[in-house]
Amino acid sequence: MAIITENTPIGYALPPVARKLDVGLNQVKTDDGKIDTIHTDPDAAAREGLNKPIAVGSRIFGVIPRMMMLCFDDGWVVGGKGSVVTRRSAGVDDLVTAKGIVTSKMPEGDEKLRVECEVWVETDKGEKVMVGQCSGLVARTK
Amino acid sequence: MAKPSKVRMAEDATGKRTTYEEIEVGKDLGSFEWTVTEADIERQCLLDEHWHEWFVSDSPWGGAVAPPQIQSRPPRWLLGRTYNIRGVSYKHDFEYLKAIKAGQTLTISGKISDKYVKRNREFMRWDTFAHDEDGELVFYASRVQCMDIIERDAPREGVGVDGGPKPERI
Repeated sequence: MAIITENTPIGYALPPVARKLDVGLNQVKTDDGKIDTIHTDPDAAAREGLNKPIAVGSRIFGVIPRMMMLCFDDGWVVGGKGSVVTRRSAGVDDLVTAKGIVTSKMPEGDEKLRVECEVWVETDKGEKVMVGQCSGLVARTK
Repeated sequence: MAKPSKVRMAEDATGKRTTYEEIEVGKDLGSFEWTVTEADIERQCLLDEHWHEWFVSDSPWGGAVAPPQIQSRPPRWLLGRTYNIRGVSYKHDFEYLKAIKAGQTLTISGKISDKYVKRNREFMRWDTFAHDEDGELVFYASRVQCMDIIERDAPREGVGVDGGPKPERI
């Protein structure tokens, strides 16, 4: 059951979704992690100018679709839309939390309403690492 | 721990790095077919700790569907077939137009749509499209990659470890 409806007010705070990252999630090239990447290996990261390995961007991003699906259900799976920017890297074992607020509602076709949300991901250190806008569709009866 | 490099990488384990000058705006990145398996869907659920009954059994679209963020991987596969760009992801625009069903084969295609310099770093944008067997658009993604974390006036002469081309798997 979607949380967001046509009656949800502007300014409504979306339910936060958090997860703990883990370096094991960064083994995107091989399951055994034997190929070193900037996400797993200090030397590979240093050669790219980094102080230490960083989290995979799509793992940080992953908390946003979880939050949006809680809010919109099928109106996210079909009709979900977004634009997000990575402001800075997250550490490989950071706790990341997706948050957001409803910012606008616009009719889309005769039967749907597009609900736009400002979204962001922050770490347990309080840094906003990813920011942007996402929207989903809800039924319109009025 | 090794100190962060002051030079950009000219090559890595996957070959010569693509330079900003070599990026051709408008270039067709070709296409490939991607069959989305139940195993792909399960791995995406595991990676994102994102579980829902629609991802494992039935859904309003008939059968199991993928978490829509599964579409974040194919754009990198597509780019890696033409260019070797490591860097870091900067911007991601996307739209989910149809549910992605288990067992469905999608045709992934795309093109280079922009390149620019910002804060002394080089960026490139590419657009990716996924069409189903009926030729209908299933998802669209437009991504911007910062080509190097190190600023662009640093020489490109080092040898990196990690490369741009990605294994084509979730």
